[in-house]
Amino acid sequence: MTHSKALTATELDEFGAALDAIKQRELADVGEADARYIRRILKAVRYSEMLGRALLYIAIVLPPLWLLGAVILGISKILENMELGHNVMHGQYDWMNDPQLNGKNYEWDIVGTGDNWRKTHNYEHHTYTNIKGMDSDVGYGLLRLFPEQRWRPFYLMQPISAALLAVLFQWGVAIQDLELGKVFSGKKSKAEFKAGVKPLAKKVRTQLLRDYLFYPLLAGPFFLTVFSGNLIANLIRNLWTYMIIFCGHFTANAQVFPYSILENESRGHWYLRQLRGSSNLRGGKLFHILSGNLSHQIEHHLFPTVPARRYARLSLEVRALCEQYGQHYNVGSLPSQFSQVLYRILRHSLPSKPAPLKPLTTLEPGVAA
Amino acid sequence: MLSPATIKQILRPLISPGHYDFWARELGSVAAWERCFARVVSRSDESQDSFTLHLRPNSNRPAYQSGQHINLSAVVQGRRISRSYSLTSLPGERDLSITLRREPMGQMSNWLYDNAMPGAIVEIGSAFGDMTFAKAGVTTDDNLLFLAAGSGITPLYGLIRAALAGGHRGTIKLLYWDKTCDHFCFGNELRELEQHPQFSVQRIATRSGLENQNTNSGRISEAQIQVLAAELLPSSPHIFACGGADFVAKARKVADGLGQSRLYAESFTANNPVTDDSAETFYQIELARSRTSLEVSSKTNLLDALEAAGIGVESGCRMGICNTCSCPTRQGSTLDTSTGLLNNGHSTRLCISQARSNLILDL
Ligand SMILES: Cc1cc2nc3c(=O)[nH]c(=O)nc-3n(C[C@H](O)[C@H](O)[C@H](O)COP(=O)(O)OP(=O)(O)OC[C@H]3O[C@@H](n4cnc5c(N)ncnc54)[C@H](O)[C@@H]3O)c2cc1C
Ligand code: FES
Repeated sequence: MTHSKALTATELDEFGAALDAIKQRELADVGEADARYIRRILKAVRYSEMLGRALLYIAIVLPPLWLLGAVILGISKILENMELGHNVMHGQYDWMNDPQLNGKNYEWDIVGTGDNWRKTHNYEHHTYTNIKGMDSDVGYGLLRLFPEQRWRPFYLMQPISAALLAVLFQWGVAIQDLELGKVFSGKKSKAEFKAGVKPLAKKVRTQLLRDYLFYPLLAGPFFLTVFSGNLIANLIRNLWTYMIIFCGHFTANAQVFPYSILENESRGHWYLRQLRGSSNLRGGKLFHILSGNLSHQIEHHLFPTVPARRYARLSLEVRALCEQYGQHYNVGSLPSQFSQVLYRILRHSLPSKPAPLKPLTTLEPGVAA
Repeated sequence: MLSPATIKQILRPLISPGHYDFWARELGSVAAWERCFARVVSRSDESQDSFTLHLRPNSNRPAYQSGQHINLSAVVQGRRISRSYSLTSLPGERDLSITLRREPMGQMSNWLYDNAMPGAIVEIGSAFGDMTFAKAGVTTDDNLLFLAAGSGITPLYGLIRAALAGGHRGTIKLLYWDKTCDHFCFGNELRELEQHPQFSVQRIATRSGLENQNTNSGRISEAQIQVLAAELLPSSPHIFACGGADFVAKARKVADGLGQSRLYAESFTANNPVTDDSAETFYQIELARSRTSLEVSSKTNLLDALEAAGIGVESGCRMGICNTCSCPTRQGSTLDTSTGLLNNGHSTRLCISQARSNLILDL
């Protein structure tokens, strides 16, 4: 465990104010360069999708191109889901006033609906980050990733269920808001459940028909060539997004918090909680783009509405600020962070005991600073 | 050739409207699933500071009547902004025409002046406006008096063209004020229209010393409108007035003084906003859909406040007539500055509203 200092009330306020100042400064500065960037990303998404799909048809006469087509289509979907869709849905580009890039109605290339995502992710996950019982990203209602979650024998299957979730990740995200667990336990009514299923079913139908019926049908007798290419592309996207997202909050040093921590939570404390619950990935420019800049998960959680292309630059400043206030800045390579995630998955499939919660501030009870 | 509707039908299951618009643009077309984009086909200088654009819209062209306006949108420094412009083309014509005055420091008018060359693409919204012959109940034998000040000439020119093209038989008079004789628009066109014996124009340059023999001069005043209108007045006319809010207010008084005449007016600037003497208060606004909130002053229009906070909101006329900025309101009350009335209703036109309580908006 790496040590972060418990901040005093004054330090916490200063820390929060410094981050607020960075946010204000960046939001006041958004403009043409950001607009040009996201339009270029949109263009890259559209052209790579076209290329990937085209290669799958060309593969009918030149079979070796099949794999290339599937991979390019997969990468296109990754770029669309991560750097374009995820960031646009956070409203990072709403100021452009472009109906195509509007956070409130953007619909992405994934079976889950944009509206569900805006609720489970933008609202619940970003507001209640890593709070047990509030942030359903903590285990996606399926996994036990922290000792604070109560152990049940079901979790013994965790290595298998985690792998299944990775392969079917878009479906995991899609049904997240249906809260099946609550439906089975009777905490959520049938009617509520049905109301949630309706828009989802419509989206699922559109997605499935597009990738698994209409595009394959265009290939006539070579239906399966295109069908399987699309299947692989979606699989590539699922695995990649799963990996990036899990590295963002489930590395060794990431913390979960009890609900009680929200009581009278100040701005500074909120920032601190975001920091403690998130972890970054080191990598090159292309890697950051393909991760939707979620490789800068810390900055994303501190400033979810600031255009993500700015996170790389901001990370230097945030890191310096963390040093100044004695806070651990969780960053590592993809292999190192992801192996920590895998360890968590395996370790907590077995019973485990939580370490006493390290206080974030000197104000909290049970402090031993 | 397949019609756009057929193409859309075929593509529907394969790609989204966003894809369709994107590829159409990449292939050099202004076609779009449902939005109306238009290409500038030609432009000409109209006067010292005005220019005319002829726009060819895609198949989603808005239906309109003479005297109406459209919101035009363009991307200026990364942001898509919208402003209203009156149509001077005839509804039956293929292209849409607008005439703009360059506003000093104005964003859209200067951007268009610099960038709206033939081939450039802009977006057009649906038409709006009540200053039409249909609304006024005008028939071909009615006498018409048009009062135009500055760029207020545009919708009136559109109406006059439409009347004469439609074989209007009643007398048509146009009183047209502008700064100097170099500012008047549609010189040749109006001269040609004056071939119609029932139509005549009187121009008034408001800045002395620059008038020529065809124009009167002098600042716009109620008395002056009164005299000129009375001089020219065909019996019991329909009066159409357009210009700044001040001008329209004056025209309204004159029309009231004339008794039996009917006035239809529109101004390009907001009516003198209602100012109440209450001290500045700050209110919390919650944006329900984006799940954010911000603090606004009771002295700022909500549209300005939201834009200043970096929140993009659809807008057009920015003076409460096109309804583009109208936003469902879940809770709270606002002051409608165009009427001075409190609004506790379910929708708020952000451009003319100020907060009078904490608000929950469906944004
Ligand atoms: C129904 C309707 C119909 C219209 N029809 C027409 C038409 O046919 N033709 C036409 O030309 N116009 C028309 N207008 C006006 C038009 O919509 C625009 O308002 C006009 O073109 C100015 O827009 P802009 O973006 O150039 O100026 P804006 O950027 O909106 O600025 C408006 C004014 O504020 C001033 N200003 C802006 N920023 C600053 C600053 N930082 N400091 C000081 N001053 C500033 C500018 O000088 C300008 O005078 C119409 C308006 C309405 C409501
Ligand atoms: S922008 Fe036209 S009514 Fe507000």
